Amino acid sequence: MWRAMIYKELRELCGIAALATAALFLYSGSELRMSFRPLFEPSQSVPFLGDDWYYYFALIGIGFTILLGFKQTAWELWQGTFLFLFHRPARRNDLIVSKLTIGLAVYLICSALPIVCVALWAATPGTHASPFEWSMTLPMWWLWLSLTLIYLGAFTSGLIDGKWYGIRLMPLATSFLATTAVYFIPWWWVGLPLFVVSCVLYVTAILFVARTRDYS
Amino acid sequence: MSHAIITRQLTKYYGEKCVVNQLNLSIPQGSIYGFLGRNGAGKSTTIKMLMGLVHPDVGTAELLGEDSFSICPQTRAKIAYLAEGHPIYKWMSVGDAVDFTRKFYPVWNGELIDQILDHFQLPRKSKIRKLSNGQRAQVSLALAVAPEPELLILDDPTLGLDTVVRRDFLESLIQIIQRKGRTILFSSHVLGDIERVADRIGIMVDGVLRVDCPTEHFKESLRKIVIEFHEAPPDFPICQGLVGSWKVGNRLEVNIVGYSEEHRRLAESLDPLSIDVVTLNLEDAFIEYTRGSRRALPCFSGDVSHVESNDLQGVA
Repeated sequence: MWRAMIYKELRELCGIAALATAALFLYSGSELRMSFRPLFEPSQSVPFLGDDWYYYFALIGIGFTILLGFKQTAWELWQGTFLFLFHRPARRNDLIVSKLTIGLAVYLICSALPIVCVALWAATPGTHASPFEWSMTLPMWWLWLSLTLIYLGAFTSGLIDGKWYGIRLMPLATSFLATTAVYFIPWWWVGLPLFVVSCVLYVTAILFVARTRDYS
Repeated sequence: MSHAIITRQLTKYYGEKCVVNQLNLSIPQGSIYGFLGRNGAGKSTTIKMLMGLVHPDVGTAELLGEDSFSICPQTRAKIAYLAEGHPIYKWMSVGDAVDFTRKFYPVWNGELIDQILDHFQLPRKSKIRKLSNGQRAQVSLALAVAPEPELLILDDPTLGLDTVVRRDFLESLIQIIQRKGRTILFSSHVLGDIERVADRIGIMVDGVLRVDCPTEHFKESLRKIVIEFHEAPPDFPICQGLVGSWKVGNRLEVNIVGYSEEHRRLAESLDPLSIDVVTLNLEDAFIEYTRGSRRALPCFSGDVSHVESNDLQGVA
């Protein structure tokens, strides 16, 4: 089952992933002192300490995670292919967990690549006239991790059944609140448990909705 | 006798509307059951409840002895389901769809699927999105039978196909799926399709299973009486077995389940010019039966040797 699901999900998500990765790399160019007028000018700040890159990373990351989540759920509902998928001899929970795992892996890997590139560039002596410590990358990694909550919110919103868009979009809206809280809380020992609890709640909700909703 | 499908009091509401109403269905293993009804009669909802894709508000359904909502993967592998509209991933090629589906099944008859694809002249490289509705139906059928299922549930597999393609598809279907011991539930709103395949039929009317009997029995039980008059015809008296009556000019057309001498006497009492009793083919019988005054349809049930008419209130 896993091989089949990996093939299917990767094939379906590769377009979004390629687009988002390209956009993330493009805007990471600013951090690498590159210029893409009129999109951005080379950054003058110390690597990982300027605001612009965080802003663009968050913006593209949010779009990326929302597209991934909806593509894996709402698109499949709209196409009617859940009727095909859920009749395969595998437990529904396993199918959903495989979708989640692959979607998360696609987001985490694709969005980690530009961060790793910028970090390696920044760590290379002679590339910029400013100090660099690996610990300076932590806020960016924290943002990268926090955005997974938006993915989970979008996945839930795409799957949930409801007459009104307000109800359907509620999980996505709450994921924005959770991500903001997790990212901006200054104490990691509060932010990390909040992140873990939010993830557990979302995954539980997703499995519950997948099991109890009607696929008509 | 063991049953492949059993439902008990299966009921589903969408909002205020009851789309499936207390459905009790028992389909013996090895039978081919034609599940009929007009559009919106509740056939697809019933099938989706059987497949565990729609939750009933009341009642239970069992497939191959397991509750439809907790069927284990091993049992599910023995059940084939062709969903309405044949949803398959459109970006896949035929070969991709075969490879993707095969990975889920412990038993897979690769030779059979090659034969079917060859029979339908479906190249493995063809993209699903570029196939016609008929070809998509053929791919779905090939994918459904390759795991050698014991039970096939086909939800209106000929929907959207033109007459020629439908005939070709059905003939292939009969050839491919008829194997001893295999149970088939085949839903359609075209009775001609069912007539070729089914040994037993069920007819849903507004969410209620009104007919559940052998195919021949249904055909033989329904008669159309055409009564000619000099002038505008009177109403036909309410009686047992009356499905409905229509006035066409000076003619009164009456559909009767279990036509008998009593019905003839009633017709004669109206002082007509002539009375003709018409035998209907299955398709006509289905049309006449389902277009009748819906709440008042007489029911066919079980392996009946008689026809019951237990719900005649309000017959026009």
